Amino acid sequence: MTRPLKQIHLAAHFPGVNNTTVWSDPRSGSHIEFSSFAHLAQTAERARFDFLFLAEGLRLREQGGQIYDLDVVGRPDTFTVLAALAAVTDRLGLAGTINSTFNEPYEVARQFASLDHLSGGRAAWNVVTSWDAFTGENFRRGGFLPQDARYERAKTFLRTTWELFDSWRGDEIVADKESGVFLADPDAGQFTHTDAHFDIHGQFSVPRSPQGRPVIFQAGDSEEGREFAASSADAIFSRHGTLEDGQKFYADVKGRLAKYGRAPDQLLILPAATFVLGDTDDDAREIAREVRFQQVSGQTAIMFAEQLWNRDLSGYDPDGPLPDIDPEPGENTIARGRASVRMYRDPAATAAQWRAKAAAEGLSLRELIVEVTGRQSFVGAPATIADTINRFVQADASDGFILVPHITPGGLDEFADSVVPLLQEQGVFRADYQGSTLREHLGLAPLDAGSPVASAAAS
Amino acid sequence: MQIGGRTDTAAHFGRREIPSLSVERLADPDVQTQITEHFDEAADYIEVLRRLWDSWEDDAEIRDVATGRFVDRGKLHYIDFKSRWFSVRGPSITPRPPQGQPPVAALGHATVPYRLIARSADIGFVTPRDRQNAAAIVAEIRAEQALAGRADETVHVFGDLVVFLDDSAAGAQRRRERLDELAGGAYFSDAQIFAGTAADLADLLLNWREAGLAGFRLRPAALPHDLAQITDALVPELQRRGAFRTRYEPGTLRGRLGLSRPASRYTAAGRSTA
Repeated sequence: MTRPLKQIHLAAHFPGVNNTTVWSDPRSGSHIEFSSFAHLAQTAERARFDFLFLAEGLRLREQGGQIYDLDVVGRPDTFTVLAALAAVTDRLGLAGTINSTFNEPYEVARQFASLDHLSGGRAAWNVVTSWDAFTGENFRRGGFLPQDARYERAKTFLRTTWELFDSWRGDEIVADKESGVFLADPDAGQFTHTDAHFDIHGQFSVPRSPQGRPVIFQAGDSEEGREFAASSADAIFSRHGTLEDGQKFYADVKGRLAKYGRAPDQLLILPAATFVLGDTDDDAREIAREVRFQQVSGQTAIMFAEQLWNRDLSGYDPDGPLPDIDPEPGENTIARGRASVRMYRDPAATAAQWRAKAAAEGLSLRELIVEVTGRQSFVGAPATIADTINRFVQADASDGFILVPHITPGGLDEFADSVVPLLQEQGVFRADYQGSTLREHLGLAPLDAGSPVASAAAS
Repeated sequence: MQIGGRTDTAAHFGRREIPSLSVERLADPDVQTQITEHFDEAADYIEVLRRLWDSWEDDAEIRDVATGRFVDRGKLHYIDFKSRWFSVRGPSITPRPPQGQPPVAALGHATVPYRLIARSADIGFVTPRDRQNAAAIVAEIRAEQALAGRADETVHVFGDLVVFLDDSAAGAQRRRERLDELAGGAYFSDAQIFAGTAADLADLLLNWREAGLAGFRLRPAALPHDLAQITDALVPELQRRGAFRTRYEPGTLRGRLGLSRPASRYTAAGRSTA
């Protein structure tokens, strides 16, 4: 017996502040001006994507004690951009990354409920935590929390916002001019919440939004992150490149749902993916190689090596061999504000692997970095990429992808025009939106408010 | 800029408790201390914002392909603000905006908030009872401005008014009475309540302007009626009298308000004039 083909979910990630984004390309536009955000969002909507995704950073990155200047630096505020995008799109979901370490539930709930109203039910929240005191230096709260306490706070933060969202059922506003009654229930919005992290009470000021609450994304890959997602998230933004890794992750996370009384289709697995298109697969491979060398300049290669070696390598030649010294052991202090350095659990072993690979393949430091960091997920002609994406989804390596173009803002245009129609022809991607809310796009059941959710949105 | 000095607002956030204030105890020393501290904290808040807005020089983004540098990090600045209330390192995550610093406005009804307007804001919203009172408020803000060393900076004072407008003064008055009746009591506001025709209101605005008010923030009493009266009747009336623009010139809000664009305090030029 064969199961019906899974429908693919696709999203657009606004190019970020790392070396994936090629700002030196002549086609590269502003990362700040609204026209760039509007262009990407409207391309994504034209291609019937599920949503647009904005990342967030709360401190500019540093390396070797200086602000990192080789990648895009700076970005506008997430809520402001998404609210503006709500006005120039109709169906596209609007996903924002918002930190639970330095914010408070009341304000975040108010912002997302407002975005959900403004967009007619298209808001999503990527809940992240912040791991370091470095970021905390920009906030009054300051400091940071140990890993387990961060997720504990994130979890209770999220549950607290749900209490706030649910403090309105959706049928309270009657606005009856004859009787002079505006609220059927004067207690609408009342809340009281007390736990180890939050002790708050009062009246939530935003009536129930079209989706009830934003769609919840989780992005961490740690054990705590996976449990958090299994218990509370609607979708996971993951980073598992290969089919096998993806399948393993997919099975692991979906397997955790049952103990929270949730079904496998209540949590979508959506890895980030980069792509390079060409007229033929060979063309695409050639372009992909050029893009990789744009992404990894000689200077960038040295910076990447420093992040593993945890020491100043500015005296080394990127076109020469790898450093012959060993990484500085202990806590990584050279790069700050960068999550990826924590992935090097055993820097000495990784350095040994890199040296062996460089020696075996005759690679310079720069060529080695091009090989071992951030290769494109999908490279090929449109048909090849369409087939690969479909294969990953049907083989349960994911439920779709969050595509990260390397050019702002036009980097999705070609994908929208060439790959999406092929997926539509194969019957695995929507030809048009079927619903109006993001929950509907993602195939998530509407939330039960205990009473109809209509009046607040309709009035 | 608004200050959440209320007990119930503070309870929404749970970070700290704020004792409730009663009008009867307003003059008590401990209450006055509490109010002064709220406004001192607000002044620090605005100072942090302004420093963050300045923390990227206007031309910090260079996109220099030859050297591989996206920004000139010499033009990004730590603000290192530390006070009793805040400790913020910077620089901002967001590049300096088109206006350099967006205008900051605050509403005030008494000396302590007037002081905040004078030392920290670009625009103060105030609620004069009459022209004479408007002149007294403006004089107080100007004096505080001088004390804060900002005598030569532009701080606009806007008068707030609640307006009921109609084709006849009696009609406007009747609408106000009808709403009072429906509400079961007289409408109360921190601002003066005006009920009359657009021409009467234009007379009042031009009269109060003589007291030193740069503009007005009109609060339509009922939507959409009073808003439509403002746009369809008051605005043409003011335009006929040569007291209101007939079109927008290109440019920013700052430019429209006659506020100069501040140089970043961290530029060489900004430092030398600071």
